[in-house]
Amino acid sequence: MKIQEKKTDNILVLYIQERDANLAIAEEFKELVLNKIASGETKMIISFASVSYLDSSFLGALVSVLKNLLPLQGKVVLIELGSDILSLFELTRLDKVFILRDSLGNALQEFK
Amino acid sequence: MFFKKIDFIFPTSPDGIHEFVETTILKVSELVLLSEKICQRIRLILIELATNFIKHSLTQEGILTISIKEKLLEITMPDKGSRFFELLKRKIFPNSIGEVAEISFSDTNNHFIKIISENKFQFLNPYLYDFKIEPMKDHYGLYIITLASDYFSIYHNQTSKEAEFMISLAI
Repeated sequence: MKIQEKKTDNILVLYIQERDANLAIAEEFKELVLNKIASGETKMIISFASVSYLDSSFLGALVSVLKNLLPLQGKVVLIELGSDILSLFELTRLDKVFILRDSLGNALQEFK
Repeated sequence: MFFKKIDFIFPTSPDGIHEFVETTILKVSELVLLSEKICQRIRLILIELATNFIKHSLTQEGILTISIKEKLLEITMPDKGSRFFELLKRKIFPNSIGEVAEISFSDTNNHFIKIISENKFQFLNPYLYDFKIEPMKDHYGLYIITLASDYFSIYHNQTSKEAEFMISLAI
């Protein structure tokens, strides 16, 4: 799984650099992020700029990440979702559960 | 009356899902005009059917059939070997035919299923019926197909003696 990490204002920014966010990488992604949370990272932004589609496995991984952050008063913002992925979040009503923003700049505002 | 039917072969690994979905939509688009919104819904359904096949099917070969009858697109897929239909049937009955059963596969993975007959069950869109549904699930596959389609059912095909998923949407 190709993923780039950066730290901005003490917030972990993860750039998923895979076209397909699907069952092939969902478990690995979940483990990586849960390990980050276990290491103390509770503020994160995840970019989907390179992702064309996302399946139910990856959606489940994202929900698992959120469920682990909530008891720690952590926060995750998802950014740069393409129209297909956005429509998936709207369809499943997860756009009411996750914070979705169109850019890194707007996402960083969520942590101020 | 316009009627077309095409068979597609499922990919056997996640790497093949993207091409499978786009090729399928392209071929269907050659036969009938599809709006971007409908393409999005079909894409979501195909992704989940392909993922379900790769994760759960006990056979290496899976065929998905798309039928277009006037303004209705129908997708059928045999549920080969996964025993899902039997599991569902055990959970659904002792409810009665005609009733809506709430079935849970885990704490957060509940579905509302209308019992059409002894061997046919329809997954209901919970938002159309104002049913209480947990948005933060551990599994989303069947849920996505239910929401993206107009009609989603599983039934026992008496001819093939197999369980089949049937999904339809108005195009």
